[in-house]
Amino acid sequence: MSQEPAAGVTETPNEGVDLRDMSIKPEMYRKIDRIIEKYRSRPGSLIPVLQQAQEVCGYLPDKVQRYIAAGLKISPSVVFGVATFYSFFTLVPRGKHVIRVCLGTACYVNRSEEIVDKLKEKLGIQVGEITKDGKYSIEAVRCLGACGLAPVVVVGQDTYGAVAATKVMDIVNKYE
Amino acid sequence: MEIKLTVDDKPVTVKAGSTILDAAKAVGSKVPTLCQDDNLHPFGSCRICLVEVVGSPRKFTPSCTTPAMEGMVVRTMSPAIIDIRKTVLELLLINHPLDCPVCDKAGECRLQDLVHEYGLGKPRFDPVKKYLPADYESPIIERNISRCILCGKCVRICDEQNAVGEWAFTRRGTKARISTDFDRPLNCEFCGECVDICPVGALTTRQFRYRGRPWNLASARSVCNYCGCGCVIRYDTRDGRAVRVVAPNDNYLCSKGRFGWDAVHHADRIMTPKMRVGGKLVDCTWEEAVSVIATNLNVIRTKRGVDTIGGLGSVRTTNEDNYVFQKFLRAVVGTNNVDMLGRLRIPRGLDSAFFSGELAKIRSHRAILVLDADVGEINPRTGIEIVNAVNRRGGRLVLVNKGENKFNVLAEAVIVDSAEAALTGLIAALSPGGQGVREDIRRAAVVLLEEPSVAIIVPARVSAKEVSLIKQLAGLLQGVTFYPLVKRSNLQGGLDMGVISDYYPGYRKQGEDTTAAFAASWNAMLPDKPGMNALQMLEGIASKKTAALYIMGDDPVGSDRKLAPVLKDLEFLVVQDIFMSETAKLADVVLPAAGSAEKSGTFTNVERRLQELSQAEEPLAEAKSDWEIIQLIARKMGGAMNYASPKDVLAEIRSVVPQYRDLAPGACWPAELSPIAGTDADLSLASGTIMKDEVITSDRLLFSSGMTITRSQEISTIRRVKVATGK
Ligand code: SF4
Ligand code: SF4
Ligand code: SF4
Ligand code: FES
Ligand code: FES
Repeated sequence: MSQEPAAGVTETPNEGVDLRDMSIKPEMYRKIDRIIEKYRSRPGSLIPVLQQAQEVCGYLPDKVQRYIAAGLKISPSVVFGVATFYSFFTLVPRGKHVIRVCLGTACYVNRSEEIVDKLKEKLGIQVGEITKDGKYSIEAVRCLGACGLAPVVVVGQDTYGAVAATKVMDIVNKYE
Repeated sequence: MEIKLTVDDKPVTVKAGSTILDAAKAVGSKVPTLCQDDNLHPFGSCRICLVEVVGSPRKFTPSCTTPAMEGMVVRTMSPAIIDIRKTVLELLLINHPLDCPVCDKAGECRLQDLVHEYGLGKPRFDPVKKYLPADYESPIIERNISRCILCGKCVRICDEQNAVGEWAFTRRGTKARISTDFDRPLNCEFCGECVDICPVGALTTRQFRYRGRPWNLASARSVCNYCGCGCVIRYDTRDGRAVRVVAPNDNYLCSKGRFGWDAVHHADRIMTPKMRVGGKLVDCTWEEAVSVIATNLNVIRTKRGVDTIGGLGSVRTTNEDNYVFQKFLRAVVGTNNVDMLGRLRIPRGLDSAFFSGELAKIRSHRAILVLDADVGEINPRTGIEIVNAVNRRGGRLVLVNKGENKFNVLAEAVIVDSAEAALTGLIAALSPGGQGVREDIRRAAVVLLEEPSVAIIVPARVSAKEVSLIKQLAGLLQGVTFYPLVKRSNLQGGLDMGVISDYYPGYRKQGEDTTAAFAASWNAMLPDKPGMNALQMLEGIASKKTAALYIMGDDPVGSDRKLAPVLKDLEFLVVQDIFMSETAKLADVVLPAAGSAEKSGTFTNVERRLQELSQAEEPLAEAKSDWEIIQLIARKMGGAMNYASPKDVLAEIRSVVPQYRDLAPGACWPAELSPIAGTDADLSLASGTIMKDEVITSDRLLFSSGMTITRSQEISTIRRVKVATGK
């Protein structure tokens, strides 16, 4: 007697969420302390605190989120809710170089999905994952506002337009 | 300010600040809602309540969030609106499993009702639904995410009313769902309020899972027996057996009130009367038990004297039980040795038995001083009122708390100290020349001084010193009302019923006049010798002043193990209870009493409110209601007792207890009606040589207070989680 519906597609609740707490060092917590201190008594401070904490740690694992919740005296569920709402926040570590591929309409019709497939194949990781050496991670993003250049790939701070799937690794290999 | 508008061609006038929904309700138009609740902040997410505002550019507007405005012309039922509602439902059903046949909410589900009313519509969307897995890992509560319509009621009630904030909206777009941080299982107060308010079957309780369909249930209104708040509950029964408890008035219930009733089904219940034969307790019939008790009491009365017999009443049994109990000892046995250990819990020197305000009024105070930060565990309902006062009414909270809990976040000022130190500091700060007080205390004092009405939450246990400080502080503030915390459900009722050695029912002090008056009403000879109080009776065992004890619904040995050898010295001990308590194990006769769900009668809660219990289940096996048992014994001993039901007892109570004469069920009797309120009379018992080591520590915890709650399967589950997670 299961209440689980028989038909349909089932997702796992943790999909895309890595519970590993990699490399959060004590000094990072001290920095977060100072961020919390600065914002503690200001309402609506959760988003800037999360932003700055992500700058410090590179990502927002469970421990860091719960640490912030305790510091700001808000419910950890709310912190998680905000962190998962904004695509800016990442709950998994990012590579040294983040490769963002646009899957917005213009880029998509210009076959940006092939770029994603190529990256996945060559780097051996899925979207949202990080390579073993910690160098690269792939992210799929919505319209970057550069549709004229479609398909668009951004590596770190640099934007590349009219990228062909066959050439994308040449770009990536420029980043050590 | 009033606003006039027209809804469905009917003119209506509403208060400024009302919504279109309020106006529609006022003219009797039925506008469906899903995410709206009168007690929660407006949210406006579901869009099912859209109405048409004639001439407005937006045309369709959610009635639950749009303010009613002068001259508005509103239509709630035009064909266009019906169409829109159908679309809203269609969208809600895109990924909804419609698994109503196995959904415990079916029959009480708002979505089901609406789809039933408006129709399923034609399937325009991908017939392959995307389901999210159900969460069966949380204790007590099951979460079926696919059924969720993201109305946010659970999120809001847990935050706004409970100040717990266990739920939040997580993720976005089609992946949005309510969850906890990193989707961990629930670890909250487990009040079940979110389940109760969820309009669909996304949140359900494990206790009720597959236990019945709402349309097949019978129900009985009653009162929660787990603390002095005495919340109103409704038992829903199937085939004569309770399957769940719900809040009949949309009132708050805590975990104990909602889930803890199942203790009554625990295997430890005493099923039959038992008597001691050759040192062992063996089952016997009611006739045997009753005659053994009558004979022994008669023999002891003759041989040792009537005043060696005593009775301890209960803070857990009904008014009727306690009334009959004290009458039995006074009028049938012939002694005033009738009392209750619950008096140990009355703050000394503070007429706590008379001064509590109504709990719902806590939120009307501008400032609230909480002297016991465990309020949420001792009297959960009182805790909720405090959260409401702050979150809904902007009340200012001053908290005395050495540790840290959810109230810290709500408090404007926190005094990190003991109640005594905080009181001393506050008095110093508020007295002329109040210099040199600590900053946290000074801040707290300012808050209390600035406000014209202050609620003081008095700890369940206070010392005489603290009491005098509380009184002194109250004298320095304006509009003070006390709200004492009371752990036991019917302490007030027990006192009202005269289970006090030197008072008759209604707080009438024993004396020539009162004795004559009660002798006349009861048509019996009454002893004029003063009785021993509960502690004197226990202390008297060693000196042979007490030879026999009749204990109804209390477990002194469970509270203080050192009493075990003491009670062994009694010549005769009768215990009547629902479980085989530590005290019952020592008894010569043990009588099975009916549990809370199995009886009717009344309780009087901390507000002095008369609350009615009606019977939901037949008493288990041989169990009987306490008053009924006492009556059997009284009659065996030649007493004239002829109550057919608790109603008869209540009628007699009304005739002899002035406070109850015209007291309607659900009403509170006014403190002024007590002849001893405001006098020096003190109902508290100071613990002497005995009951000093009462186990009060475990007593405090929400999930482990008392013999009954620890036998609730659901509450035990919660307790295990709490222990395992150290939360
Ligand atoms: S059971 Fe009570 S405390 Fe727990 S999530 Fe639901 S409303 Fe909040
Ligand atoms: S679980 Fe229920 S109350 Fe909570 S958002 Fe979903 S439908 Fe609303
Ligand atoms: S607050 Fe007290 S009376 Fe109300 S449900 Fe909880 S235990 Fe029962
Ligand atoms: S769609 Fe890729 S930049 Fe706009
Ligand atoms: S009830 Fe009005 S938007 Fe949900």
